[in-house]
Amino acid sequence: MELTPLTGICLGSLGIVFLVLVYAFIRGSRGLRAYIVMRTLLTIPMVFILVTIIFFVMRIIPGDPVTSQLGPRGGPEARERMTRELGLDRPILVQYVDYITDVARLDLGNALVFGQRPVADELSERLPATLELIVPSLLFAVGFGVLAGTFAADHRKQGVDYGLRLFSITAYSIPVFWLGLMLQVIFSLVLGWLPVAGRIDTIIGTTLQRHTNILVLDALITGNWPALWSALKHLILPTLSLGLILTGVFLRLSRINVIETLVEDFVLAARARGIRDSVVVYRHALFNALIPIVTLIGLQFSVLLAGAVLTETTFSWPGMGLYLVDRIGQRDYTAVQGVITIFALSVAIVSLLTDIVYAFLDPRVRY
Amino acid sequence: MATAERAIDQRPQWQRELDQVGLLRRFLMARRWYGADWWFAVLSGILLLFIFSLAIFPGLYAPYNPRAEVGPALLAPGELPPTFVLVTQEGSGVASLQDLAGEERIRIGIVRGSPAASALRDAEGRINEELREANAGVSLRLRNERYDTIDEALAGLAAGEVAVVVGLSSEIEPLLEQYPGLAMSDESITGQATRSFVLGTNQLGQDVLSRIIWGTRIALLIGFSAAVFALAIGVPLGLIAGFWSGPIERVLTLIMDSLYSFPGLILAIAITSVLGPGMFNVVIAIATLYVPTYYRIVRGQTISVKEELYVEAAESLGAKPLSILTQYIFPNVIPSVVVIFSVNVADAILTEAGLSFIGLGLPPDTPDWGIDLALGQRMLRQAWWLVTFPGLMIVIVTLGFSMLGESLSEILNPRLTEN
Repeated sequence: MELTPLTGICLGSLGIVFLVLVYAFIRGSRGLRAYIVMRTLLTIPMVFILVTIIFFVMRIIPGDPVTSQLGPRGGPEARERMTRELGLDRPILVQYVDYITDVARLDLGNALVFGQRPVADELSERLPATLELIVPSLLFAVGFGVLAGTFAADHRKQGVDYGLRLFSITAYSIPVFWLGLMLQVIFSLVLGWLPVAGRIDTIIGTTLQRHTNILVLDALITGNWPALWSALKHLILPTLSLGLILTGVFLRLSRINVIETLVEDFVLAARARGIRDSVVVYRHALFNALIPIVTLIGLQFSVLLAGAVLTETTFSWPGMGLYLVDRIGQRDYTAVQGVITIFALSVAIVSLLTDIVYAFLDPRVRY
Repeated sequence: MATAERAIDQRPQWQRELDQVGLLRRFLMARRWYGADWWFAVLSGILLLFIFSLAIFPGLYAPYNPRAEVGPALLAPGELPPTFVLVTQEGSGVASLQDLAGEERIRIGIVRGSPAASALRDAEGRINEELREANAGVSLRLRNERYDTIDEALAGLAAGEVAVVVGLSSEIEPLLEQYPGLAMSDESITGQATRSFVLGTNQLGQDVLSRIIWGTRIALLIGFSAAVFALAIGVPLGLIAGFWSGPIERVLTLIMDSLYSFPGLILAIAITSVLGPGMFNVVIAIATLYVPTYYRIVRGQTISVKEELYVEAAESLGAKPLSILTQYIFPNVIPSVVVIFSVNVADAILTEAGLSFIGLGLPPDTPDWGIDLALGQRMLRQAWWLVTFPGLMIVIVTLGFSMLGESLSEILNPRLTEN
């Protein structure tokens, strides 16, 4: 298997998952070990089902990739040739087995447009951009959401608490792409502070040597400060729109958790010992309330991916989401299927990881 | 009997009191205990009633046809459209373009590249069309004389080089004093009354306000049908899977869990990209996302309710499984289903807008918020109002449903409250 950046990142993340598993397995109790084995084994059918759903959604439902790609201009010979090239003339079961084995080798087929390069190669160029967008967004959402939630819990039933609750409901009623458009109007077009779209200033971008294709990281490695500044400026609005949408959920959960923790005996004991109120709330109560946040990160990961598709479309951010939308427009169904498969795999892996970390942190949770 | 019931009933006094009164009284009395949540529910209810009336009678609220070109393109909110008028020699008897019909080629003065030039071109075609339809036997024959400024054009008219000059009324008015012999027609040459548009117009000259009002109908239709579809499939499956466990139930649960973990919008993208655009396909795609939500909640509650004493009692009295399911278990899941339904409608509206925004939803001329946002994004630099108002409408409607869901969950499931 050729080592493209995509396979590199996939193998790398699998390696991290494996290390976490091994660490938890060695350090954990007997119950935890059994749980880890169970949960890991359960991931296999889950991935299998997801991939199967994708396959059947893409092939069985009426609508035929050859017609949609060739359009009315394709003659019968062209149609036949393309059907054969795509392997669509074979029995459906053979196609299914083929697809599953291809996915296992991370071979996502060749794109139908633009030089027909392997989808895996094209995706590996897009993946770093998506990572550069979703990681800061998630950090922002968790950081801001948890702190604001704790603050609201500390000021329960006061004005600021109601205000923050209303903010959290509003946050997930706002379409992420509309928030992005509004931020563009305000900060780019009216105030002129930040760029409207893209990842980096085109001219500055040419001076930047690409190693990881995560531009902020590349600029840091090569010490290219103008490029770093430009990349950061381009990052602010997309991160803010994607992050703010997710903040509401984290705010709600941490608020409720901190409220529940604040009535526990150990908090009362800490208060009785005369520890300062802020320390009790922001250290004792908050740290205990953080554990369920781990699960929420896992659950929100899929929201994050869906949000990334829309955010990338809004900000012309050349990540996997924009690639998906572009290729839907080009009717390149191999590419569409490839992106969705990668999304499904990453969701399954993140969900496995968060479940294990949660079980490791909170011994009460076992199957 | 009454005493025995009271002895079993562990609920606080006020909740027992609520059982004694009618539905309306109960609703009003609840204000005392639920406080902010009650107000949330009532306010969002009133908001939603208004939104429903928009969706049912959009024609009553919308000033214009949402698909028709009703004014000049890209008019800002409240801005008056420019009026293009004729300037003629005083006493020439020409008040509108129609008056020029049937004569020899009329020499007419315009400013090169000005909006008045294109307005004249449009008006000429329209008037000739009208004359042909009316079989008037005459037509309008104009010959354009181009000038560089409106000042030059007026000078040309005063010197008799052209018979008529066309220009913006706001431009011409201050200049008229310098040319005492010239007069401006009262009517606009486009024949349209000068009216402003509350929320402006888009690049196709459609009224933004009318489009977002008609968009309410599409959004609610899709939101509700998707949530109803999902409920009709998810709730029975959840009840059955919770009641009879077995290998099929395990597989079903695994499938539902996998679907649930999948990014909703991306699954909807996959389904609509294969099914193609269209209202029904969008509803199917979105409904698929929510089936697992109902399934998981209903199954979980069925499993826990199944263990309750009264279910066991009913079983020992010989009640059939189906009647246990419908009479004893189903009523217990209704509150959660109501809450999920409300939240789902909000989420479905957001998802539909997202699909339309990336061009996968409905046919492009539909008055739909997502489509309007996608159209507006192309004009972001010129027209902020095209993206602002449809998005604001999405926020208001989804906020209404989310707030209703939130407050209902506090009111219907008192166990979930933080106390």
